[in-house]
Amino acid sequence: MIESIDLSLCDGCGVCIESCPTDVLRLMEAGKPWVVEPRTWKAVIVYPNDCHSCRLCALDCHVDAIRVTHALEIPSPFLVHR
Amino acid sequence: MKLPDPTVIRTDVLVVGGGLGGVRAALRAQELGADVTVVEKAVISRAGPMTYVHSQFAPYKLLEGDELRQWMEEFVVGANYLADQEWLEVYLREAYFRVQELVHMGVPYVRDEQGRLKYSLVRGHKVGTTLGADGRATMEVLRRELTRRRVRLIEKVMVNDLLTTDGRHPTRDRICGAVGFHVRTGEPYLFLAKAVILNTGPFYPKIHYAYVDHCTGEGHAMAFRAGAELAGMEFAQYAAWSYFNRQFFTPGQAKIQGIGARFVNALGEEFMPRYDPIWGNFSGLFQVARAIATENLEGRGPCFVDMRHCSDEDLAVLYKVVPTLERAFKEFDIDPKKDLLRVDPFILIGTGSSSGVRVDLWSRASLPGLFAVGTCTHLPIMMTGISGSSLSTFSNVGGYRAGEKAAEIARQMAHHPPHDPQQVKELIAGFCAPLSRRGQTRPCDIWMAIGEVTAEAGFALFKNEARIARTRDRLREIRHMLLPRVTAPDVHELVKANEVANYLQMAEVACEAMLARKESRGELIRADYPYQDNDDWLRWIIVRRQGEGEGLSLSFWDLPYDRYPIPPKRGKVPLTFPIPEEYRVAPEAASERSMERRGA
Repeated sequence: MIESIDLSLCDGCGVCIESCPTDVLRLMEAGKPWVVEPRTWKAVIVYPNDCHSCRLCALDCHVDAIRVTHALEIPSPFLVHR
Repeated sequence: MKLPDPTVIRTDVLVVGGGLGGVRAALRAQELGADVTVVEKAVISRAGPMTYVHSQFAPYKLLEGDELRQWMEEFVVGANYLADQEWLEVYLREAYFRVQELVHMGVPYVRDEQGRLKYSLVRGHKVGTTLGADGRATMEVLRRELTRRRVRLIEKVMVNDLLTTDGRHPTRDRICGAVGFHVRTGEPYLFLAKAVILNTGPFYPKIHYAYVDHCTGEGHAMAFRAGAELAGMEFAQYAAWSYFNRQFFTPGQAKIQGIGARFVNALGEEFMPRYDPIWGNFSGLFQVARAIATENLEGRGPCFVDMRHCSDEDLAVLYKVVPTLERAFKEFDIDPKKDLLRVDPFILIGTGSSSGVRVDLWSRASLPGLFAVGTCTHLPIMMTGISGSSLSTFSNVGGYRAGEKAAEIARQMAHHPPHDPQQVKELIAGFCAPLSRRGQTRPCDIWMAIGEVTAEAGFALFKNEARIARTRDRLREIRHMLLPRVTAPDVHELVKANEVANYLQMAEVACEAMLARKESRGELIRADYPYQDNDDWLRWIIVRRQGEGEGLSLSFWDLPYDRYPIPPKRGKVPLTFPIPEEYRVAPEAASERSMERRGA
C-alpha cells in the first residue's frame, strides 16, 4: 500500500495523479489551511485503502518521492499451513 | 436527486477500455475510415494488465504446414482440448503480422547487444518465441499513435451499461451505444455508436493485487445484462502464486517461470514435477497455485520460489519487462541471487483462462453491433494460465479483427441506430443510486463478505455440487441483502459500488456454470467428478439471461471435431491432484472441522 509522499521532494507535477489506475491520489494546495507557500501544489494520498500496490506512481515519479510498502492482506485460507 | 443531463458523444465505433485489444481495434477501425472514440476508466497507458507486462507470442515467420500443425497441437493439448481450432489457426497465422506492426510502430521490445529482437521462453512453450517490453512504454507508443491519428480519447470515464435500440435488457434487437460517468466529477456520459467494442479486461475481485483491482468485469456484466452470451464461465478461477514474503504482489509470473525459477517446499523439495510431470516448474498459473496450496494444506509449507541460479542477463531482461518487480525488490531489500522468496497462492472467482463474452472469428458477440476483445471474451484459444503471453497476442489479433468488422458495419449504416431516451434515464439513475442512499454499508464491506465466501478452501480447492451451490447461495444473499444498501458518499465510492455489483453478478453466473460442468477440466476441479471426461464434455457451456428477471439459460456448444485437424484423446483422464479424505466424505462437516482445527 502507498505509505508516503515526501512533500519536500514533491514538485506538484501531477504525473502520479494520472498514473494511478485506482485514482488514489489528488493534487492539493500544500499546507492548507496554513498556507506557507502560496500556489505550491502537492500530491496527496486521499484514498489509501484503494491502493493495490502496483507501484506505477513510484516508477513514474521523477523525483522519487513516493514510497509503496506492504500490500494489504488478501482473503485466503491458503496462507495458513500446518 | 436530480441528475444533470449527460454529455452526448456520437461516434461510429465506440471502444470501451484502452488496453492493447481496444487500441488495436480503434487503430484498425480508424484506418478504414471510421470515426472512433476510446473511453477508459483510468488513463490509457496506465490501465489494465498490459501496463505491467507486455509480451507477445511472436513467431519469427508466418507459420504454415507442419510447423503450424505442431504449434496447434501444443496449444490444443495445453488448452485441454477445448480450444476452438478455427480461431487458433487464425491466431497462429495472424500473430506474426500483428506483432510486426507493433515493432514498426516503435514498441521498445528487448533487444540483444547487436540490436536484434531478443526472443525468450515463457511457461507453457518449448521454443522461445516471446518478445517482451515494458508495458508502460508500449502503451505510451500506442497512445501517441491514437492521438496522432486523431482518435477521440475520453479518459477517467467508467462505462457501466449498454444501450439497446428496443430499450430493453435483454434486447431482441441490437446494441446502439453505452452510458457511463466521469470517475471524479460524476458527470454522466451518453455514447451513441453504430458498433461497440468491449475491451474491459478480466473480472477480478478487489484483493489489492497489483493491476487486478482495476478490472472488475464491467464488460462481462454489461454484455450479460444486455442479453449477450457468455462462455467458459465455469473456468472462472483466478489463481496466482506471486504473493512474495507476504509483503507484496507483482505481475510477471510467466516471466519469472520463463527464466527458470524453481518452486521448493519447506523441506527443500522441488514439488512441481509431482503435480505436473510434463511441465514441472513451467506449469500454468492455476496448477502452480493449486500445488502450493496443497503443499501448505498437507503440512509441507510454506513454499518458496528459488531464482538464485538464474543468470544476471536473464534477470536484467526480467527487470526490463517487469519494472514494478525490480522496484519492489529494491523497496524490500531483496536480492533474488541470494534470497529465497516465500510465495503464497490464492484461488478466487475471477477470469481464469477463459470466461467471458462469447465471440466468433471476427470478435463479434452474440448481439448485433457488439464486439469483444481481449480478456473479456471467452478466449476461444483458451491458454492464458497455461501459455504465458498468448493472451496479449490474442488481444492484438482479436482487436485488429474487431476493428475491421466494426468499421465495415459503420460504413454500411447511413445513420446512427435509434436509442431510447427512457432507457438512458433509467440506466443513469440506476448506477447513481448509491449516491443518494443513507447508511453505513460501503463497497469495501461487500468485498470483505465476498472474500469470506469464496476463499474458503472447501470451495476454492475441492469443489463439489453442495459446496458450489452453497457458495452461489451465499453470493446471492450478499447481492440481495447487502448490495441494495451500499452507499457512496462521493463519486470515487460510486465507482467502487458499481464495480462490486458487476463482479457479484459474474461470480454468481460462474457458480451456475460450475454446477453445470460435471467433470474436472482446466481450472475447474471437482471432487465429485475427479476426472477429465473427453467423451461427453468436449463442449462449451453457454450462459445468457432468460427474460428480464434473474433466470439463466444454459446451453452447450459441442466442438465440431469432425472438421478440426487435431483430434482429441477420448476417454476419462483421472486428476493428478490429490483430494484429501476429509474433503471426499461428508464434505460440509469435514470442511468446517478442518477450518476450526487450523484456528481460522
